[in-house]
Amino acid sequence: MAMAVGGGGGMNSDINITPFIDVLLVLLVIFMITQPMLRKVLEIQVPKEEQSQATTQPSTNIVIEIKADGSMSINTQPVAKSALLSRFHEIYDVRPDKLLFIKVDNTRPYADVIEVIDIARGAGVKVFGIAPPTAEEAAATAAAHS
Amino acid sequence: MLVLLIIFMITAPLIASGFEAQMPTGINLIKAEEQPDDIVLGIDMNDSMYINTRPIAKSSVTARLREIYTTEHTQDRILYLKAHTGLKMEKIQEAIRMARDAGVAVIAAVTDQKPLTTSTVSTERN
Repeated sequence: MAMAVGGGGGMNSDINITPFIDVLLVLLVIFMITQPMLRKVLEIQVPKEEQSQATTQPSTNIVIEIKADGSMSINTQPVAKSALLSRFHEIYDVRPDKLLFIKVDNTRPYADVIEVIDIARGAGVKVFGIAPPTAEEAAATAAAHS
Repeated sequence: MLVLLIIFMITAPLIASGFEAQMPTGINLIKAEEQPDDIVLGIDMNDSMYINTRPIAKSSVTARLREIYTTEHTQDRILYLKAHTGLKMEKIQEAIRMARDAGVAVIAAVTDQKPLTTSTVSTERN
């Protein structure tokens, strides 16, 4: 700081950085406050009570199944996870209803389902539903808990 | 002084909320800014449940949610679900069943943006 003392006037050519630091700290605080406000979600439709009863008529819905070993199939056709995005594009680029049902084994982690929803949203799917566990699955879970 | 202020600002929310969980990550997420009256159901890695970061017994979740959705949020029955990423789906299915019994229409799974990615589709609500 002691340089640039030229002449008798004592002209100081250093930039005064104190106000910049003040402004930066205020900005830092503002960003810290607003950061938790930004939140991202993926939306899942909750099945209505009456819809959860199985219908016997063949449906045209797209159902992806995640099995206990992590393998997946779309409408009973096996599909690799790496091929999911292209497969979803194939299906949904020509379909007007952007609806996907997910049937997932109870032992799979939550992150798997989120990943599938995420990939499907990338392919243009808009509405997601999670199939409720079937009666025997629910019974097996209840038995494991008691 | 300012450093102290910042330290307190970081630690205060951690102390205030008893709920802590790691959200799953995704790429094509929907923006949903936090509103003060949102209902958030949290499930941490030990399968304990929280409503708006307040711990609640599993058996009383349905009743509490039904109370909320019959008195305040009767139009947009949306429940924000903050669940630990490694939880088994049976726990999530259980939470979904509780939510359905309480009259929830849409579950919004709160998800973190995968680092260094941006959404490839619209992030607006539809």
